[in-house]
Amino acid sequence: MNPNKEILYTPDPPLRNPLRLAVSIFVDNWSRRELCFQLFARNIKSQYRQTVLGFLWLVFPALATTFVWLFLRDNVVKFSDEGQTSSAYLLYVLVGMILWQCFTEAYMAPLNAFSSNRQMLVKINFPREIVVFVSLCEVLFNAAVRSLVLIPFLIYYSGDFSVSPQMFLYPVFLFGLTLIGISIGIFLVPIGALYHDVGRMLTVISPIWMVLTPVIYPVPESSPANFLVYLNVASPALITARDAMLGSPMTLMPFTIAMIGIYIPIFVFGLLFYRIAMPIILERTGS
Amino acid sequence: MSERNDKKNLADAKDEVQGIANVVEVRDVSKTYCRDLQKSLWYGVKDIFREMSFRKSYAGELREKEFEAVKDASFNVKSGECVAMLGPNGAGKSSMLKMMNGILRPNSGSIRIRGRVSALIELGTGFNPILSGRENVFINASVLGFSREETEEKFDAIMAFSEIGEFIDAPVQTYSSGMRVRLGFAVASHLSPDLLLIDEVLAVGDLAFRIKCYDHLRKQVESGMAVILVSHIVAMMPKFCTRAIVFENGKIAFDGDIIEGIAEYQRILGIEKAKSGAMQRLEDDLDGVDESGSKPMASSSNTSIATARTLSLENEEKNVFKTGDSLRLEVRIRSESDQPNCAIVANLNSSTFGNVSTMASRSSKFNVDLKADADTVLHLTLDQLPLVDGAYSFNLSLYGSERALLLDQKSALASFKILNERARSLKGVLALSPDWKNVS
Repeated sequence: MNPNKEILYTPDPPLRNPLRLAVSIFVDNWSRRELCFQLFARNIKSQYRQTVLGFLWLVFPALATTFVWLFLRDNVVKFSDEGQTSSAYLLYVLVGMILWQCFTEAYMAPLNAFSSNRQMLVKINFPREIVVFVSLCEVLFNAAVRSLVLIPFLIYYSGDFSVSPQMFLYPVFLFGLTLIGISIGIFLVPIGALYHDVGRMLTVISPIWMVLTPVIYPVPESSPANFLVYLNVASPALITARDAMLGSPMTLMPFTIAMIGIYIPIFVFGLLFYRIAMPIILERTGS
Repeated sequence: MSERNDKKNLADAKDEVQGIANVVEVRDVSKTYCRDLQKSLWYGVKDIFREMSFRKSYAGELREKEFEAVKDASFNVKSGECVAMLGPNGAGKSSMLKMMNGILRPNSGSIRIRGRVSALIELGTGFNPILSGRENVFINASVLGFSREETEEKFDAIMAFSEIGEFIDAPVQTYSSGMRVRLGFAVASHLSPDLLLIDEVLAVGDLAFRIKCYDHLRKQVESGMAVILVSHIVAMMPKFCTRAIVFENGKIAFDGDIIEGIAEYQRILGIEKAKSGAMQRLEDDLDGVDESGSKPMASSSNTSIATARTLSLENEEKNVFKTGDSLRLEVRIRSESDQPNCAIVANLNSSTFGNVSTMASRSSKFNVDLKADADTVLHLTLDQLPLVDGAYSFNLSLYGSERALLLDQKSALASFKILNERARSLKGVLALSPDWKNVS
């Protein structure tokens, strides 16, 4: 027996000492990082093993939506983007769709991860946040695969394609966008696990939220429409990441950096909330 | 009970002197659940925000529709000790196990664990059906706390234990349920925690594999691991466990020797069964009373079986016997009117095997004559009880002079135990005296 390892379970709230709780969450998850990798590899392998097209399924939705919007823009809907060529618009929407998919996957990931791992959570004691980190890895992996598909499109449609230093900021802001999404998602788990209304509401909200985000239409410049950019948490990081990839002026970069900076402590607080709520959720949702 | 506690305290003191430490210390632990789903969810939301405001988890008065699944449970488990946790469904065993494993938090009390804990609450946790057995071994091992290097090191042993053979590279969805269990246990059995919690996982799989699992666990216990085992299959427990903690309605009803614990568990189980099976027995009794096969009619008379108890042949109250002892059942019947030619049926029940014997007074040409002015007392004597260790009770049915008129019926009366000092076999229900001879 290891006499040094002593665990005490009491009704005392773990949040009584928030710093100690945050450190224990970090230590627990770091010591089990291999489990995080194993579960991530399991999910990725099993997701596409029974398909023929495999990872191509990651990019089809974004490509299909992009070509539909390209057709609508050229033949049905008129945007205030005079002078923008069809090729430029195609790249604009394709990058926007990839980033938007990344964001929606991120904010829905913690709740989905809880649902799919509930049986394991209720039977084995392991750091509960692992499933959140696994889902974060999956979102980033999917976004990376989708972003790789961008390369041939960029070469083909952008005419004089060259790699600019600005492009290296794309993964940084993509990560920032994912962090914002997952931070929102983590706060939805405690209530969403108890009441399924939250999950259903998210599926209703997602398409509306996309319409309110400049994914397929140009960023509004005049008031009051441009408030959508500042009030919508998804917009700044999405616009900045897209600007980085397409070589456009990154006017929102300072605002986006500030926003990501705010969301880092929010994410940490979300993990504390998640850890505290988990025994209560598991007790209420049963085995 | 107090004598048993004194013995336990004495044993604890002795262990303390010898330096045998407690791996688990459970003190006054209670756990509350809610019967109503909507209320339970709402209490959940309130509890989450209560904890976020730095307050203790709710431990006041029971809220509407709440009940205590575990009530003031206290016990210790020492290293190298194997404890069976017994009790009927819903008695609080699994909740206790989940609290010891840190999945649920107690509403009051404390649980102190010294050393590393592992729980086998479900075998093959994290298995993905599409992936191969080999891939799943690594995932499952990782979930249970192995590093990849450790798993690689133990992989051959895991393979040998599971007897999966060449199927290890086939998808798990092509495995039979027995193969999945074997693979799951093979991984889990290579853990070496200080405390192992097992919940019903050994109830599956074929007998040969179960024996193999128990043998493996016994070796681990001998090396100093503490085990807490929850199972309804009690037959193998005396060979494996030394102590039983019996739960009844959330409370610890018994904590002590495994054989006595199993008998206590069987007694509780007998009461549970009696509650649910009263109507069935009503029909069973007919076989001993009415050969015409007609159903009995419940009577509205004020005649009742008042009490029933077991006695020794010296007519002293006694409820613990040994195999081969004689037992006397005393039944007291109260009636407001004279009723001649009544009949009584006594069913002797084993809590695990059900009805052992039906004894109808009419089959023995014995009539019960009830008097209005005094209780009628009957004695039924059973010589040389051929019963193995366990808990037993009687179900009694009283019939009027008309064969199908049921005057009263009582279940699970006069409970008694058969406890032999040396007998450890709990298989079957009859202790016969076989006479083997070599004739050629």
